[in-house]
Amino acid sequence: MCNNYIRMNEKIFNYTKTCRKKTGLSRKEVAYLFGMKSDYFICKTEQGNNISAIYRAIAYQILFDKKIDMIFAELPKKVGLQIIKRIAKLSIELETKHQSAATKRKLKFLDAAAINIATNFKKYENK
Amino acid sequence: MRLQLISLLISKNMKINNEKLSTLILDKERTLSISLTYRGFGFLIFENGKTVIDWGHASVFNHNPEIFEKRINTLIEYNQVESVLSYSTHRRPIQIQNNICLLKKICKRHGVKVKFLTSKNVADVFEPFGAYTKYQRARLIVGYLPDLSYKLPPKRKPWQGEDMRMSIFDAACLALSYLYTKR
Repeated sequence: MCNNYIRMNEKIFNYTKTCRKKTGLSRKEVAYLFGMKSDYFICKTEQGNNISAIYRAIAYQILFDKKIDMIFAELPKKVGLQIIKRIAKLSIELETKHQSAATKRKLKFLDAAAINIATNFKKYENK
Repeated sequence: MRLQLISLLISKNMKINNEKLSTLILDKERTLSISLTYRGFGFLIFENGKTVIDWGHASVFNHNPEIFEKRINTLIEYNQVESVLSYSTHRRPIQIQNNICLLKKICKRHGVKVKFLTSKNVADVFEPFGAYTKYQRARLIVGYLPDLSYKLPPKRKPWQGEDMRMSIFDAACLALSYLYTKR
């Protein structure tokens, strides 16, 4: 139909690394929160590679003019629940470690993130 | 109107250049400031002179020009940087002078503007704020950019060497003083 396909090997700039760095979390910790075995995908995404799934999701959003959480209606709640469970596990693990400034920063972010996800649940329930 | 748009897009004469499109979409000005040290370099990327995108320090073993070039290339290409800032070669060691010359060549190859500032330019900007030493400047920057607070090393004792993390704050000083003088 059309020859203007997007090249998936092309590096596309994104702010994932900036967001992660601001929270102080390591790649492995983010991978754990996402439920991944290794940090390979996180690394690739931060480098701008391997974003075909994200590309498709954004394409759906643009084409049908609806937000992703409206199109994949059950996913946000499911993912949010899983992330909250992992946040609890990770924060327990971090609390047992030496309380350096970096770990304190991580714990502060994790607490805020858990509260944020819990408040967002109410929004989804109302929808 | 709809037909016109479709015909415009489909017309054979109009070839959509991906590079041109990306420049149209990403109209954000990014500046990469680099502070070269004996062990490598510290870097900081500013977007629109307001937000910090990336920061860190890279060690270049034995001043290897190939490694240096590779790291700078990835920084410029991935972050789509428009201009690069660095300290000038004035009164710097030979190894650093060589790397600055290499930086010029790399930027020329990528078509990126390079701007050099002297340490005096930076001092002129920070001295009115009561920041005379490197550490005082770093403390001042942490107040302005709290995301960098975890990178601030403890105050150096007279018998200790300089912490590698200070190069990030050096790069931040460079970027902020450039933006300050630009305004």
